Amino acid sequence: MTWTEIVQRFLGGTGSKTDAKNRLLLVLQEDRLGLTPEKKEALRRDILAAIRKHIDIDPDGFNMEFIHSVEQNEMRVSAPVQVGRSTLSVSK
Amino acid sequence: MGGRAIVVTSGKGGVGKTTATANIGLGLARHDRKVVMIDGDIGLRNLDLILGVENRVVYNIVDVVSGRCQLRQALVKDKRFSNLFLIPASQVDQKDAVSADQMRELSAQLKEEFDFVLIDCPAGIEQGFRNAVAAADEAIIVTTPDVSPVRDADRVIGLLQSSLGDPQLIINRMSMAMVRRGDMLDRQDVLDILAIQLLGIVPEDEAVIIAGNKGSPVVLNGGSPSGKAYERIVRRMLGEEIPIPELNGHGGLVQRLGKIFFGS
Repeated sequence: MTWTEIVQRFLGGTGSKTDAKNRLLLVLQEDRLGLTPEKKEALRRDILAAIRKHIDIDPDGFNMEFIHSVEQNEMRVSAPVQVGRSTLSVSK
Repeated sequence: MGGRAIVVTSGKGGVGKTTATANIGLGLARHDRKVVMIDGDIGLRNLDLILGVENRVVYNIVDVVSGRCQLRQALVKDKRFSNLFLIPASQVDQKDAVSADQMRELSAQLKEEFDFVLIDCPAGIEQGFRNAVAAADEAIIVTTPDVSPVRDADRVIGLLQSSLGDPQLIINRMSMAMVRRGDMLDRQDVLDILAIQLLGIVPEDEAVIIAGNKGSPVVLNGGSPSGKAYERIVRRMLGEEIPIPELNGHGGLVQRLGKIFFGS
């Protein structure tokens, strides 16, 4: 909690504008991208398939998310890479 | 040299488009500009009522475009300013009684005679919206600092991008007390989100309701905070550099803290 937020609580507020701003930034980026849940799912599937064509990844650990802030909008994709042999990790 | 055709729009209904149109129109007329307002909300006529000229309405916009009357006959003259006119909406016709081409033509004709053609856009993004936008060269977006109007404003800004230049924003019904408590999006929040130019902020003000009751818009009431805000908006539209007062009120916050701690 920032100092401003503490003061705002003190004044009887709940600081709900932060929720408003974050929620708006999220829906607006989706609105602007025209990204419906269906399109998002299709994109997720395509990216997953494209990666798996080249390297072995665990589809269950695959994650795609959109990060929105005033400064930037980012699509973040993460996937655990399966290297096959556990021996690749440093052995005891 | 033709006048400026400006559409006042929002997406969301009930945020104060008609009130803004009326106040801006009256304000511009008081600054000696020749102004005509078009009520674009066919079927839901209201601008005449807010302006207090409802008793003078004879013909309406549908009569004009369908040739039932001359354009001149449909111009309702304001009782306060002889350089201010209104073309009322029809209360009985359907939303599609006027086409975008007809609106464009009407606006072009009016721009020859008037300095400002203000078009009060209906809520929504359907035919009435498209007509109002077709008639305009510039846009003013009205929003309140709430989640759904801001989202709808963003949608409208997106739709306008291809046809009109950069729209300008009026943030209406800002409550300074709620902003101070952190329970209302402040001007910077709204601008961060919508990323357009700010034309003005109108504070939440009971005077707007009273003005509506009387048919005498707040811009005529120099004592009200909202009236002063509209006067500043009008002068900015006329090219004056008037700073937008910092209504976020960190000074106010410190004062209130002082009250709590020191009781003064």
